[in-house]
Amino acid sequence: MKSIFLLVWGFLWGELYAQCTASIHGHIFQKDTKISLPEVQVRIEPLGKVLQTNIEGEFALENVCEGEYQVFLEKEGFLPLQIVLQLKKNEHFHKDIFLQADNQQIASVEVLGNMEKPLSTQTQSFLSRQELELSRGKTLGETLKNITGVYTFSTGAGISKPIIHGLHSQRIMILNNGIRQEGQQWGEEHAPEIDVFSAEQVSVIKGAAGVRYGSDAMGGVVILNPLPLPTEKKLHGKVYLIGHSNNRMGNLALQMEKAFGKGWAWRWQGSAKRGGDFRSPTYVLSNTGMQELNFAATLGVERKKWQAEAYFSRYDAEIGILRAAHTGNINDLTVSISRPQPWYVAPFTYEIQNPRQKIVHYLAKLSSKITLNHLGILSLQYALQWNDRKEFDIRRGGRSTIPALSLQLQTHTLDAILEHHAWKNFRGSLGLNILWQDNYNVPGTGITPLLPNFTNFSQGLFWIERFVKPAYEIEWGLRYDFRHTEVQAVRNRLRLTPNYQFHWKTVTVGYWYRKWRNVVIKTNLATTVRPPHTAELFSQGLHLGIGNIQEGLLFEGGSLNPDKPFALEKSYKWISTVQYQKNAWQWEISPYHQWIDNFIYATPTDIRLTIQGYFPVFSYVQKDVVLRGIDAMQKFYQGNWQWQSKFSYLNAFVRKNKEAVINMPPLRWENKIAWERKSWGKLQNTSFFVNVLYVAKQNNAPRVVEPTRFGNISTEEKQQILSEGSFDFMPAPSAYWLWSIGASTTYKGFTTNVQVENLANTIYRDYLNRWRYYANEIGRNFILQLSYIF
Amino acid sequence: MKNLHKISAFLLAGAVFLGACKKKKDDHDHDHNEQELITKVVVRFSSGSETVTMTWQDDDGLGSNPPVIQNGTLKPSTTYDIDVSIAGENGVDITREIIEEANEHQIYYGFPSTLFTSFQYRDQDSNGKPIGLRARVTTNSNAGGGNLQMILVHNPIKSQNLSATPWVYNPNIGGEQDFNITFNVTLAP
Repeated sequence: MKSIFLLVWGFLWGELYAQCTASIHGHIFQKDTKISLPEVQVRIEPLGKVLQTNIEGEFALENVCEGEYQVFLEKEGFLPLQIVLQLKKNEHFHKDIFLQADNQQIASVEVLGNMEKPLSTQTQSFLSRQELELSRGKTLGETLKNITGVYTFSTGAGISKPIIHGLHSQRIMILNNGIRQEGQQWGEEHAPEIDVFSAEQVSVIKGAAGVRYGSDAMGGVVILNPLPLPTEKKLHGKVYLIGHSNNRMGNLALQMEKAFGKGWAWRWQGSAKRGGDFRSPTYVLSNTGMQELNFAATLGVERKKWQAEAYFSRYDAEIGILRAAHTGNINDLTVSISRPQPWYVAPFTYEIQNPRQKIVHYLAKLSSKITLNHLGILSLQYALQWNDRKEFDIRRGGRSTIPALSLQLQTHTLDAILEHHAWKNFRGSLGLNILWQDNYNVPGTGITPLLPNFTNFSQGLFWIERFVKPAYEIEWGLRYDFRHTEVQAVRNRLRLTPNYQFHWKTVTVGYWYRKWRNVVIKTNLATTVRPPHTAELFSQGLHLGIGNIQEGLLFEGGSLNPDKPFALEKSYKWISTVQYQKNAWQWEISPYHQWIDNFIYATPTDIRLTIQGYFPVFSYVQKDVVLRGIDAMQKFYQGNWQWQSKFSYLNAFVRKNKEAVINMPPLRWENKIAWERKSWGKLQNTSFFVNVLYVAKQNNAPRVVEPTRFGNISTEEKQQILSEGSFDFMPAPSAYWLWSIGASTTYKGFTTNVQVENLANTIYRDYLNRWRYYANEIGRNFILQLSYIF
Repeated sequence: MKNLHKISAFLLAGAVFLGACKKKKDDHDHDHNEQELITKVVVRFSSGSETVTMTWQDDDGLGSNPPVIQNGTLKPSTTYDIDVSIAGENGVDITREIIEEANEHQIYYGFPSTLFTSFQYRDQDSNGKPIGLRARVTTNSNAGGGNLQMILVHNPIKSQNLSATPWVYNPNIGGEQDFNITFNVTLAP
């Protein structure tokens, strides 16, 4: 704390004693899309200073004397712009500047910036345009893996969910087009119900953003945004045609947009995908096919003082579950671990059999932004989400057509945010978030529901304020939340309706500092409080594919006690980022340390004899854990060559006994060497790349207790296994290297991408794949992507 | 400002309209019956007029109540016919479901030679492969006995059964184990 204070003080001191005390600061956007523009050449006369905007589209010049200046802005593909400004003494001139593109092709610019900058002292990483385009056709989780420090927790190749700094599911939030995604995210095998084609700007906030977004943002926030609606009254759009060889997947996507009338515009976007069984290098992963059919439509109007938008989307997917990883009771797990390949391997097929998931997700949103003359900008949005999830199992007696799980989740959200006009050096916002949701088990499954029916009503009020100077910024925020949960549980065939009320407060403080032109330091400390999800309290059942019985926090000795006391999860996350950029070098290092008190986590508490044999029982307990780690990234340019390196490491343990936490990401190091040429004859943006990924073995994993030990277990052995704490059934998979190559070029709006993933057809398993007990990861995959922009 | 009113009226109307979609759910019907859960396995050993019944019962499925196991005593050097019947919650008969889907089910048996010296299946599916609801065994001539393990496998690859000992489960058979129970069988004259 002392050193931060000295830093601030030293900075103020420096400013006071400089001869010329004014400054110029600008943020440059593309006019139509309002995307931040990096690498704009900024020439300031008569000083003769030439600067370049950084990746967030900003430039700053300190210690300028009073007087008149001319600023010339130039960037290839844009009309140059000249600004004249009169600078007073001590004035901190700031302007948002919009550059007009001289050819109106969309997607011809790198999307790096983000319009929404809720917490600028937060460490936020953007997916570059190129990375996003190369991962078109993949799942959201796979797409986000391009960001340093983001992993995926997967269930085979078709289902993956993002992990940020070791946390996933209900501990991270996905903000899709401004709306918090509400599906059945508590389930480890439930992927986010989002069509990635609808997102044009993808970023991840790695800090805890609980003050702005509420409890789910404990681990971080994934932000997916479309581009702003067009202003040009000509029809534009793009088409993608993508093929993957491994699962013989075809993917077609189309987007069209047009402005009309006085400030009106629309966009329509749709995608269809069909893939068959994936293939490991030596066998087919039977029943891993998938199909998706999605669309989204937007209608918007923009006037001088206000704008409004209506958005509707539908996501519809059917995903096959590896046949051999079906029930996963412990005997089946024993069998699987002892076999070199899954017990069920059939020839390739597109057909999806049971077990499978069928999910439909609707989102309807109405939003508006109103500029209030003396106050600021008021944003209002309402959204309805409807999530329908059906899971089909292999069942006896002709019941396979009846879903084994059928859940309907309805969520209404209302958000109101007032971003006040800059007052002196203060900028900030005040907001209100209201959520009402209802989870409903559709009757008739013939199986006791894993998750009971419940309703949630929550309200949050926040205030975030920033003290902004061109070279530093101090930020603080407060939030108060209230949630009421009503559950309809069943105990011994009796209906119970326990109620829970939660109140909590959260705080965040942050500091951002720019030293010279090329060093930026950000540091942020945030608290987040999270009440347990109903699934963590009430779920009871066989944990699919993992060979254990899981019991929620409210179970005592195997039976439900709704009055059992439990605590809220409390997290304190500190994250700092140092960015350095000079000439050809650019690097970024983000260390973080997160303490989570009362972390809800499953640990073995019993070994139970049932008619299906002995099962370990993993109960949710609350322990204090620490997650700490470091993300690092560096880029180096030399002529047409580029070298990029990404590294991340995480260490997670229970504070009391230093016990490892299961399913935490291992060390990961990725290097990419690319050769790029902007224009080569008639070809544009031609590039070739080689990528090598190294994933280490997770050495900090729980000990191994082989499932065969549960065969006919004695009481003493049972006690002994339980006394030694958490365990896994198989050692963590070995480290692996994966090679991939690719090439890309554009000719008159027509782009071709060719990639080969897992070039060496390496046989490996991944620690963060829930099917690691059953099968190898997928083998070599050729990808061909054709896209056309009109 | 007039436009502003229009917009807010629009938003409000939308909220009311969409809110009205909420379905009636005054009766949140739970599925109380576990239709597929096997709660009781009864194994009858009969030789002539003598019948020995062993049962394995666990009413709460994965719940914490311990199972009730009734083991039994057989005579040495005797040939017994085994008949298995399987029941679900509230005594629902599941044996019939197994017979209807005979191709997709088989009960595998594990025992030491101190218990049985011979084993043969007495039933078969439409492909001529065993089901295992009925079998015939001959007990060892010495008193003593051993553990009898019975595994009902759903979707086994029956072609992977060992030809000499088709009752022995091996990992190539795969499938899912619907029950996996063990009786402690005593041999006494």
